[in-house]
Amino acid sequence: MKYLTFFTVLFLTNFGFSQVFYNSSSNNLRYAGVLTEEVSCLLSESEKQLLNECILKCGITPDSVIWITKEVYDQLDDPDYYSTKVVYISSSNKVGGENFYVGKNTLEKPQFMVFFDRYNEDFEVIVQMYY
Amino acid sequence: MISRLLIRFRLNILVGVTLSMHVFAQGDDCLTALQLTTVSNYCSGAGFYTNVGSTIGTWGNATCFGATTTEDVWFQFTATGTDVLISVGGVGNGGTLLNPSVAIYNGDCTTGVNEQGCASAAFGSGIVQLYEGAMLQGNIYYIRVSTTDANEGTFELCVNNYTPSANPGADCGGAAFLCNQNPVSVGTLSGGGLDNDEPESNSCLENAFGADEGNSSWFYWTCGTAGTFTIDITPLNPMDDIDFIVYQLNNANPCGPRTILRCNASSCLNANGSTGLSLTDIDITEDPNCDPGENAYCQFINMTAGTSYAILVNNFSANMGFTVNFGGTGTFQGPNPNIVATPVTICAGSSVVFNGSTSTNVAGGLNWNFSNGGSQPSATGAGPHSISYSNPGTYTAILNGIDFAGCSSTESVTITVNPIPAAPSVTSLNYCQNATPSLLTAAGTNLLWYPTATGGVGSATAPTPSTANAGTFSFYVSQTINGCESPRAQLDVFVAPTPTMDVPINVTACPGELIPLVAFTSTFSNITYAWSNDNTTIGLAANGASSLPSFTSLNSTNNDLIATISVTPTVGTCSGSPINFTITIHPLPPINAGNDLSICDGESATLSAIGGTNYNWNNGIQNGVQFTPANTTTYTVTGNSTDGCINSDQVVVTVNPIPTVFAGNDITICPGASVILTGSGASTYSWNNSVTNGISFIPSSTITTYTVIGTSLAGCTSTDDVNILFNTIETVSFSPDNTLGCAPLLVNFTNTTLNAVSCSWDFGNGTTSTNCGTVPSTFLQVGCYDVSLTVTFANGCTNSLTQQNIVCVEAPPIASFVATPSILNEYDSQATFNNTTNGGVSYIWNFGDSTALSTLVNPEHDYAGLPLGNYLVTMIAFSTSGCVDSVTSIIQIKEDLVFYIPNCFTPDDDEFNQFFQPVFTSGFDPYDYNLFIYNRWGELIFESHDTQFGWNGSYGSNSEIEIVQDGIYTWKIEFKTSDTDERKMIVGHVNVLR
Repeated sequence: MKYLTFFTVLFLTNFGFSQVFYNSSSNNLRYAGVLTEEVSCLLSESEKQLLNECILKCGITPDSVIWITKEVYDQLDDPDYYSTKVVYISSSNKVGGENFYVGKNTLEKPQFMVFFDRYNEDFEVIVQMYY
Repeated sequence: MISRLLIRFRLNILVGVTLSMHVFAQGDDCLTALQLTTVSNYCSGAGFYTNVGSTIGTWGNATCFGATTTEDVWFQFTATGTDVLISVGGVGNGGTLLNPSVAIYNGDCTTGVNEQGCASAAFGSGIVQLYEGAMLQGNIYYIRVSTTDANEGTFELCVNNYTPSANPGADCGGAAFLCNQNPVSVGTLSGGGLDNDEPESNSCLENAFGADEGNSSWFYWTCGTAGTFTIDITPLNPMDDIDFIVYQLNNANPCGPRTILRCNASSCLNANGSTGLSLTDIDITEDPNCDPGENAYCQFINMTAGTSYAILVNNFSANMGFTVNFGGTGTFQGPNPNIVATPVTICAGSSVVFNGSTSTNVAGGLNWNFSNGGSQPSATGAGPHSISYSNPGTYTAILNGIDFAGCSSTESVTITVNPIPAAPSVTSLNYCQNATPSLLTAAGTNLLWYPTATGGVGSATAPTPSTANAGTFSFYVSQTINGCESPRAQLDVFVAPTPTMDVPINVTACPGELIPLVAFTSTFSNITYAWSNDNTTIGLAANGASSLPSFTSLNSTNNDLIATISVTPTVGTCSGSPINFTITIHPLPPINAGNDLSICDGESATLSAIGGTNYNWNNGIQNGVQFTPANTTTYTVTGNSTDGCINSDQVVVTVNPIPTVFAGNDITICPGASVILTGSGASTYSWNNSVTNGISFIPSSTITTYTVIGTSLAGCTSTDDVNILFNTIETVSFSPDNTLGCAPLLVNFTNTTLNAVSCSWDFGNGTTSTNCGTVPSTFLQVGCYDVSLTVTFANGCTNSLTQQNIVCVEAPPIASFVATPSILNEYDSQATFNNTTNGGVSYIWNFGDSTALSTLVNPEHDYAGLPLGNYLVTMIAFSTSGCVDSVTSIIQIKEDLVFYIPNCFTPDDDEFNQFFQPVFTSGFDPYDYNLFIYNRWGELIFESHDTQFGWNGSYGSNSEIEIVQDGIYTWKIEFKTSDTDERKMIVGHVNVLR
């Protein structure tokens, strides 16, 4: 299924252009990448809370998150280049979990990438930390 | 009274075929009786005559006609024999007339006719016969046909006028001698004669118990020309039985030695009671009965010339008579009168030469009868006899010949006398001398032309009279109709002489002269003249009579006009040869003062005339000398031709004024503004610097002065100048804060123009603005846009700037991928994602199993160890400009159906392989499982509903259980899959070994 009408926010703000698509008739949202103020404004308080829970499970406070840079992103053609931690939560039944992947390199400071998918009031958030 | 009429009925058939049918209404009275020219065995043919439309006439009814008879038809003939047999056939007998009656008369139609006999048909019958004897040869007799009542219809008329043989006797000694083969009629018989037993005892008429003859007649004859002989003997009473014997004699004595050739005593009765000899029958005798094949007719005989024959005819029934008709190619010996008449067709007043010298066997003499119109009534001997006929008509001449035995025979010939036609109608002719004559004509048939009134040989070719000489000439012509030439008619041709006249003198003049009358003269008296003019442009009419009238000459050309006058003298209807003379009108000299001149005020002119000599101008002007006129003036010049004719011409010199041209007031405009320069005071204007009068243009900033040349309608010119000045303005500028992005792309435009008073934006996306500061505009559609800004300054001038493609909105990528496979299981858990996105450069994948996000283009992902179910895979694609699209797809992880069926087991009580037990591992419903075992006869010998319970090879139940024999057994397994609840059935064989 292809959700062409989803509200989508580009995450690569630091890499170049950014773009916002908005469909006022739908509350659905699909988003991946860097969390910007524009995207943050689109999240409800409960959704922000779930996002913060994921960030905290990575051992980082939300205020000190460093979002992924182009240099790090360009290394991801090799999935095992950096160690990775994935934290996910779904609002439907509060399902959540964590996964760890050991990479061949480490970062001095972890960098983050997020994935949101809101569909019919169900909200899933994934926070992926490269470290 | 209706004379002989020809009534033609023409029936037009639908298909266009035209049929013609001739029916004659008869001579309705004695005086108009139809003439029968041949009455020896004459028959008209079926339906040839009719009594329709006839009346009873003035003679009253014949004695046998009915009281109601109303119509009759008359015929006449000249008797050539002493006896006549008349037959009228109506209904069923050659016509439509019912109950016909016929009567015969002698006498004269003017003084009176006498009825000699009359007969009527039986009631309801269509035929009647009348016999009359004792007729006088050469006399005219009348036949009158009617009915016993008022019937109308057509009929056939047959007449046989003949001289019969002597009356036949009942004994051979009284046999009648037949001189010819004319029919013989015997009215009444009178027994068998003195000897009524003459037929030979071997003949068919032999009556062994009595007399052979009842009522008999004897005939004999001698063959003249060999040939066949047939005979028809018809009783007057059709019911009478007629018998006969034909003999061949040794000499001309019927009572001498004789041979029976044919004998017929048949009682077969034909329709009319006839008997005889025919060409078609083959028997030679028929006895007194009617055996099969008999018909009262026997075979014909072949007669030999000079041989005598006899016939005994016996009416076995009664004493009524009979009629005998002879046929065949053989003839009887008898008188043979023959007429040679030369010619048989003559003209009235001419003669016919009759010659009977070719007659034969006429020792008894020849007697002629010409009483019917001939110049003498009769003559004797062979002749020749020249008989003239004075009146037109048809006449019969009769020759009666008598042989040694006193037999009489007649021959007749018809003479046609045609009338002498009247002379043809002619009309006298009048010709002029030397006129072209035509063939002479006359109204007539078969014309013959003669040069003299009598004598000479006529020519069928009409002559052509000569007109070479004047005088009167006569020709003669006759016409010939039916070989008879008419008297000659005289045709006169009058030829009149040709008149002549004196030749007039030729005339010359100039145009406008009065030419006097020209009178014509001749030596002929009573002469008239007719003249014609071949050139009316000289002022003379095209033609006229008598003398040539006075007229004023004309010539509007530059050449001589020559008219030829042709005068024809005429006396009566004859005209002489035309006499010609000429009238020449010289032309006026073509004096040309030159074209009218138009000059501008102050210019000079020169006038020079051509076309003649000795030119004289008015107003003191000299030919070919320049002068300067002050005003517009008309000048006249005159000149002469070499023929002495004088002519003049005029020219107008027009003096035109100089125009006052105005280029307009000086102008101040904004840079780039357009201007229209319009001159005045003249008719046309020409500007420098490529300016067109009255047409808008944008002046160059480097040019300030413009000059116009004005020209009047007369071509006189003048000039004027005008100056154009420019206001100062600022340059327009603006800048966008963003020129490239994804839709919707918001761009802010900032106006950087100095001293702007008002602004007008056009962003190219359908939106505009009049704000002179920073203005936002959102671009929703993919593409590049031109943005324009127009600024108005304080002096009212405007300036603008358009930046081409200053903003571009890029298209988003179209995200798509294909997962292979899309359905996984615990044994095949890895999926490959083939990225088919269009326009993407970077991607983020979420595989739906809470594992790490991937940024690979075509990632692979392993779902091993995950619970069965559906996993939503999401891919987000990004373009170079950051435009995005996303797509999702479901990956299913299902349980796989796994089972194993052995094909052999050994129930031999050892520890190995004692059971046949299918092994089901996964993908099935254990509560819906059935195993059946069958032997070779299809008997069910084992069943199980538990996968853990297999077959040990036993068979039977309770105390009769035993192990089956070695061999192949059929198994069938039914179960349901756990994934789709689909029921499946599999069948196979298992081998039992011990």
